[in-house]
Amino acid sequence: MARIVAGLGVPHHPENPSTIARRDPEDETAKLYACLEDLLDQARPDVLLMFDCDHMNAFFDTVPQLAIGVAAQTSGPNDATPSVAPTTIPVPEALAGHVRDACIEDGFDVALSRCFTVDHSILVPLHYLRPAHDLPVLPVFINGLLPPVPDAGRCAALGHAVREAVAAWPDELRVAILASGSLSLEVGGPRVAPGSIFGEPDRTWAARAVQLLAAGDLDALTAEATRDQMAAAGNVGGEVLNWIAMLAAIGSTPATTAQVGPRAGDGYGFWTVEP
Amino acid sequence: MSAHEVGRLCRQVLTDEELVAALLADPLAAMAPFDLTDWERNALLAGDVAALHRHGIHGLLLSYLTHAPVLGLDVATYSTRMRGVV
Repeated sequence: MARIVAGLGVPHHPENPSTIARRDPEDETAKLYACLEDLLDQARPDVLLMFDCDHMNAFFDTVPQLAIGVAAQTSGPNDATPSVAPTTIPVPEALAGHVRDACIEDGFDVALSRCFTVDHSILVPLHYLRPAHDLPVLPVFINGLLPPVPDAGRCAALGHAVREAVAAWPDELRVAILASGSLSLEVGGPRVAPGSIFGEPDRTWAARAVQLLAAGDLDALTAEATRDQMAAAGNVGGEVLNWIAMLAAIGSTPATTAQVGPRAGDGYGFWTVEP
Repeated sequence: MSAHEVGRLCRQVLTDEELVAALLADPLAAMAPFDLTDWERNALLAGDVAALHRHGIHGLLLSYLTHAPVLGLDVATYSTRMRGVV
């Protein structure tokens, strides 16, 4: 049967690939990504399930609260991410369909996306963590950008449903779960920093979220990640929902490593579930 | 929903170099294919991102206008105007 072997979480700033070289030993961000790349390699995953917030690229005219991409492959970036070449990514279509079916049976109205492309929120993590694009990616989309975003408890329950769905898959498969996104980030809104289109409105929250993620304290994180808190964290503060779903999916274990990044709204973490 | 149409224009700026070139050359003409209200068109021409944000367009989409940049919205100008909302 399929097993969840690891969890991880990283930010996905679209400017990173053009400004931060992979595995640059002089750059703190590159070193964090490199550490997680190595840990992911050691986990020997067969599939990477990604909890992700599409940035109004794959879903613009119609935006589902939850969706799973069920296709043989996807491609991107659909948002002209600098220094990320057009890329085709395999998708484990049968497993993706199974996960969606199982989540629906568990009471989640998960939209089906049969033909979709992906943006920087998928491709920037892969750029740093799996540049060969040899690992099938199963995208689980959560609307973390357009209010009202899903409730944190709902996303934790989704993570549990995904966990059970993976366990019910009959084939031997090692699955890693990745959360893509920041914990406090404002993009283009009123709380951007002077001279910038980015801001980190609630660095205290980002640090708190990393602390709870590191401890594997899903209950506290879910309770504290209210809609008001996510909004206070920035206009993409809902990306924490990906981390909540990931933590629930891996079984809420303490992290192998977790820390706030050089950008104070970011977290980087890895959870070893099975050696 | 016209605010959605403004968002569509912003999103298209990110990936459509022809639209970018048209906005740089003749912004009013470049906006013609989009179903915008007079108010929206004028706000875009003025680069009034704060007003457009209040109108309901997500900051992420508005930030795409700094691509190129178009409508006079270099990052410094954008930031100053958007921060004025607070």
